[in-house]
Amino acid sequence: MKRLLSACLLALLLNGCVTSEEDPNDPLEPLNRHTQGGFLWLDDHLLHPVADAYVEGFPTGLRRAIHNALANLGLPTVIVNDLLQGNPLRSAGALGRLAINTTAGLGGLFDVAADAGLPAHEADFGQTFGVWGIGEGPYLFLPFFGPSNPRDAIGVALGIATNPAMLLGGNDAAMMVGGELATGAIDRRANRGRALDQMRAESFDFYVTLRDAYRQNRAYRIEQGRAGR
Amino acid sequence: MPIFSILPRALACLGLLAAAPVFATAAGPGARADSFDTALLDTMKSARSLGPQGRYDRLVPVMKEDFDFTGMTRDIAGMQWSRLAPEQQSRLVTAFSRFETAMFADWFDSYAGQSFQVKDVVIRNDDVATVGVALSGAGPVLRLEYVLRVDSAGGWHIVDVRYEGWMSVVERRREEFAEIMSRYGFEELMARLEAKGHELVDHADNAASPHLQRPIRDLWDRPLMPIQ
Repeated sequence: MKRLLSACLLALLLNGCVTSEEDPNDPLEPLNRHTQGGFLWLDDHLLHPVADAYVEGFPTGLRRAIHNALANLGLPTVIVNDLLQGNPLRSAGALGRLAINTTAGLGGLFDVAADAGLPAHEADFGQTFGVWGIGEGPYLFLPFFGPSNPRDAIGVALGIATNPAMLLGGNDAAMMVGGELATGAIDRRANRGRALDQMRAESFDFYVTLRDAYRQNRAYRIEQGRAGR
Repeated sequence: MPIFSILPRALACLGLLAAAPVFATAAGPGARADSFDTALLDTMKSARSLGPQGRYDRLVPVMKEDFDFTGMTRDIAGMQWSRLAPEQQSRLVTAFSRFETAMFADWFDSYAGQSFQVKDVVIRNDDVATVGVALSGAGPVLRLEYVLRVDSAGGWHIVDVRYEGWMSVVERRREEFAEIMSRYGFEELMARLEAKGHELVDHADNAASPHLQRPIRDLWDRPLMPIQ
């Protein structure tokens, strides 16, 4: 049974982006739609109001500092994944960003590295798996995490497991990681609010819009990873 | 020189002169994109005084000239296109062109010193081109990519717009159209297209929410959570 499940999981992962007009590779669409509905309800009634209050209550400079600090905490993941994708120079750049922003940037509050010619870039485990040729599998809409697929979901789990805060262990680790996730969610919603609202307003079917946007973006990220950009 | 030997050459010259305006006005892909951006910028500069309806009215002839809406609609409809009757195809093209124009009128609803700059033009196989454009002046630079095709008369027209190199209008709408047509049918798609187009033009401008300056970049600049 375990072998069968593993084989099924592997088949899902290697399925690749088998989408077509007739088959969007979304066998769990009814469940995904329900999950998205719940996600959007939470967004409308909790995350969006909290993000709005955050924007109104915190000055731009402070919000920028929080955003920078969160980005700095995510750099170890970027460094590792750049290497795994075969982009050592990009990895070195990310390492440089971590070193400069942690020291001269006062613990990551200021993005001094960008001014020094080391701009930010993203790299994550899901992207790495894609660069390695592992297919995305069917579309998933995860509670709290939003649009995803088996490959990227495993990438998210791996990212959390390898978060340096996990070294604290026990409740401390859970609080640190949980706090980082929650703050990051508010930060992202504050920055993306208008874009998301705009996209929703001009969609005919927001579920399909998000699914397609997610896939387009991930395909783009993987292409960038392969090209070392 | 006898006139009979001059006449054919003179007529040939006249023929070339008559044809010259066709070649002179058939804009290359870079020029076409630049022309559209110039018209868009003019609309943005009067955005607030025009209002959504005014911006829409101004953009209709511009986009009719610069875009190949028939080609775009056909690309979006994909396999469904051949299953539609000619009358349905025509209705879909009309509804989509109205909707897309309304979207641009909605997006470009303010001006804060922005400018468009053509960065690169790449032509493939002599009939498809991509033109990279930078929109700067209000926050971070937004990268647009126009995809153009040449028509039988040698004119280039926009058939897709990609934001930040990845968000394609055609690909996005293709999935939506396919989903709606397969679930609810053609008439439902038409109803939604027309309703959404009217909605975009009828709403009032939101002075606190300039749209296009930072839309798609922010949405997917990073995964939803910081740790991935």
